[in-house]
Amino acid sequence: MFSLFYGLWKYMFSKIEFHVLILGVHKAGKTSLLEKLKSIYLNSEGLPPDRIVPTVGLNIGRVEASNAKLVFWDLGGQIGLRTIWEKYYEEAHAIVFVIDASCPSSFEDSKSALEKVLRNDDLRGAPLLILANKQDLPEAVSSEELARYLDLKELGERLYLFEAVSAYDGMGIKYAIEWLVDAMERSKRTEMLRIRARAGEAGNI
Amino acid sequence: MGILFTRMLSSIFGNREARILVLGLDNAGKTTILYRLQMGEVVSTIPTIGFNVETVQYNNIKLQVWDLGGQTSIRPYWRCYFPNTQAIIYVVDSSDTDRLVIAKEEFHAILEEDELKGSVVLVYANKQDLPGALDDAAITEALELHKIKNRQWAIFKTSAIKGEGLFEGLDWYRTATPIYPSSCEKALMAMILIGAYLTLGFLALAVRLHVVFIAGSGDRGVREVSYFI
Repeated sequence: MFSLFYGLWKYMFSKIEFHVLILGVHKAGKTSLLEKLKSIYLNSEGLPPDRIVPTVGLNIGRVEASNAKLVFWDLGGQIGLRTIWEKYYEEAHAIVFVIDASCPSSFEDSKSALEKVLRNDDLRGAPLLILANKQDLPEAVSSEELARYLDLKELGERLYLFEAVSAYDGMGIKYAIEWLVDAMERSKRTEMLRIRARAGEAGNI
Repeated sequence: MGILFTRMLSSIFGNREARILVLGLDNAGKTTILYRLQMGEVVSTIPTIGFNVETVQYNNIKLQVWDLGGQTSIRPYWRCYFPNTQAIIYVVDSSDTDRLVIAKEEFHAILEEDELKGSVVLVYANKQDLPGALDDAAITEALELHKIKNRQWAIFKTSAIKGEGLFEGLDWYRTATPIYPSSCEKALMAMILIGAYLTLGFLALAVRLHVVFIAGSGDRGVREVSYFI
């Protein structure tokens, strides 16, 4: 009896868990962003940026923001490790692509990596948040300038946003995440993933 | 109570202890890694039957590192050591390409264990000094690390003989699992401090009242006191 009520309660009030992939080239600031997200939304101190070591694997952050449960998957950006990115695409609701806006020499690499991500069929319809990171540095370019530089042609009908942020002091992050949650809630992909998850559960039974 | 205080102090000063299991097939280099971490030198080892356990002090973490024998016949006993484990170091012989499939199967079997659900996973792609050793990306692929979606993991290229990569892994472990006093512990700490403060206050008050009482009771009090002396 109790489990019946509990099931009903869960069915009515449980929030969907959104999986968000944080991608970007080496040294873009992905893990710093993740730590900043943890410190903003969990009220705990994240790791200070000077103690972050290059990621060679997966870092996970679970936070609640704008009334949604978010699971961030932060993957390493070194060239050899990019092959594992696509293994996570199928289950991701959205993509956060981080670019070091203060380092124009990395833009070419970022552009080709991002184009490759967007071409992948497993990510069809996933909202895309492109972050021009490191705005705390004086030489950082604005998000408009970055958008002009990247000149992405494969966006099509995808929901996307360019946003200037700083993972160091937290500028712009809250707004970007609010947009992301809203975009995921509206996206058809979320519905599709939910149906697939239900089918998977039913299959298990 | 004592345990609580120890935990609080260690969370303030950043000292901590962790229990780490070193697992992997036989001849992957687990024992060499253990003693390289502990003594900083290469020892000649024989196949481990049973286990080796050593305490490794690294910066401010004290690691209790368990190196369990990796031969097929004793792998079933690994599970006896699973409870209360904070991290698993899974060691792979990167040059032993024939047995990577077995290494993968054992690895995913370990990940399924309930008692290890909360532990982070470090993979050491060991024996990088040997010719023909696969690099970290290839080992990632071979072990199917991407199937891990609910816990943190990292892979490091190591060479136990040359001592490369081992401490980088421990650095990652330290940053991947920072401990801060939980809000519950903070509240308890505050309560204990307030409690101590109030007790002292009451004691002080009581002493003063007592003095006033004696002084206020006039001659009799004085007489009693002098009598007492």
